[in-house]
Amino acid sequence: MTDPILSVRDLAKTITLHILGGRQVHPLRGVSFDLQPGEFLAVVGPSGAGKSSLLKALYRTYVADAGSAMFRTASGATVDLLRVPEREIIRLRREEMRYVSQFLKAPPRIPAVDVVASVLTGRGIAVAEARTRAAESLATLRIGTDLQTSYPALFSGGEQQRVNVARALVDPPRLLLLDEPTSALDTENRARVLDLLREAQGRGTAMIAILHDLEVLRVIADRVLVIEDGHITQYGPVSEIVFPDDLDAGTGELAVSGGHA
Amino acid sequence: MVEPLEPLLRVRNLTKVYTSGNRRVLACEDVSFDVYPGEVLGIVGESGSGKSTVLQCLYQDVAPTSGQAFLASYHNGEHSIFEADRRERRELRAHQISMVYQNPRMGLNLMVTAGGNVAGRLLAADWRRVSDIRDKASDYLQRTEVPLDRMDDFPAFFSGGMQQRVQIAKALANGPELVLLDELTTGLDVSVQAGVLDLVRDIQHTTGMTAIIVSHDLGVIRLLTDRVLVMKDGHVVESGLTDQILEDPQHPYTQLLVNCVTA
Repeated sequence: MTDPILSVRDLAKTITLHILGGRQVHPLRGVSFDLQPGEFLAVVGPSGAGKSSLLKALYRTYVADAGSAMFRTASGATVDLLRVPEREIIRLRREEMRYVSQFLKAPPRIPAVDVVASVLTGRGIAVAEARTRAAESLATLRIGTDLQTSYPALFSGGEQQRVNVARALVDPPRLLLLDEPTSALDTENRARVLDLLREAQGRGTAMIAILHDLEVLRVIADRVLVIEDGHITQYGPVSEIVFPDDLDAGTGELAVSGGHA
Repeated sequence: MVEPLEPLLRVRNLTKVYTSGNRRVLACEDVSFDVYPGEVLGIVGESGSGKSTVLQCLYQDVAPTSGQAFLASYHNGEHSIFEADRRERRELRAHQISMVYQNPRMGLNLMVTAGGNVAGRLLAADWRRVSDIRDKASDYLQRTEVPLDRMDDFPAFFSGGMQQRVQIAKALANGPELVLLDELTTGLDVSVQAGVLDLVRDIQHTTGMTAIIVSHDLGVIRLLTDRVLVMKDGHVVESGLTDQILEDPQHPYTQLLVNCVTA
């Protein structure tokens, strides 16, 4: 095994709700794991177990209370994502890590093609080239030219999710955090997204993804992390995991996409 | 892309106390922050929290009581801009810093044509060729979607939204290093607000402008800023990445603010 790209140790997060009389919630109570370059780590667990909090703490949308998350950057330096200055987080978000939320949070009144192209222009790529690449990426996900020039706020849930995925994969970063990337997709679109994710994986993108669909998980995950009440209760290859009952077993249609070693 | 790591602006312990008779009113106290090139910093807080005072001090409409502000291009960032003499202050306003006021009447001369307002700004920045000035002014008014046939009209007869767009054209035309925007959409109706916000966002994307945006509207902050300072009673109570402030606010006041969003 190579050096991990991300090493998380004892990550803990407490939310103090001052407006509710100081009530405390503990979404993460000490989470540790390693992630290799090109590895796909699936995160599963009941609703409210801390899955999204884990992604948000790594992306710094949440402020963690304790622990560390050592990330190996493209330049070979190692930084603690939980503590590195905001300035560096802004740079890392632009160049090395991306977070794909369950629902598209695109700014209003911007055509889909520009929503995707902005990822590239933010990295200094010329507008014309960025638009071309964005259009290709959307077309791969079957967002046609009509939709590309419309505002994503007007799209269906599945279309929005594909715009979101296109944004994540138009230029795969070193680390991708995905919150339910296929939840709103039909079988065929789901298969396309999985193909793109595997392609990115092949190019070395490491991914942590919250998944509810056991079938998707079996196709793509290298390892699985089960979170319950802020703790890791299981962590290992798919074959060793005893899955909780509330996972969606799927319909079996995805099997045609082929298994994953 | 090589990122310049030096802040464009460093503000340290900025304090403004107004005295009225023998009463002291604290507008802001010990406000410190950095702004990096290409970054948009938001300042949020309720009215009276001191957020506009910070901008007024930086634009030197108001003299701070104490504190310093170092602009990288002013004496290599070694002297505070508050030490500038009258001539230097005029230079700073003409070339380096510009302001968009909440009330367009503050930033525009309403009895000079729209084109003349923008031209005046360029003249102050030492533009001399009339044809260059004319071209640049019409270019910026076009970008801000002020119809060219209104260029020779007086802004006094424009709608609030169009006045605001002329003010933005004027503030940006000479390519200032730092743009200060004070509640730029407050008082405009929603569809006009959207137009003004899209305009600022577009300019931000195409020019990489560095800006400080004061607003009590969290939607504006979410749309336009990278980082946020939260002010209450003249103090910065919390600062952070915009998504962090909105999704995981730490301070009781910020939690209240974020939960007060009406829609």
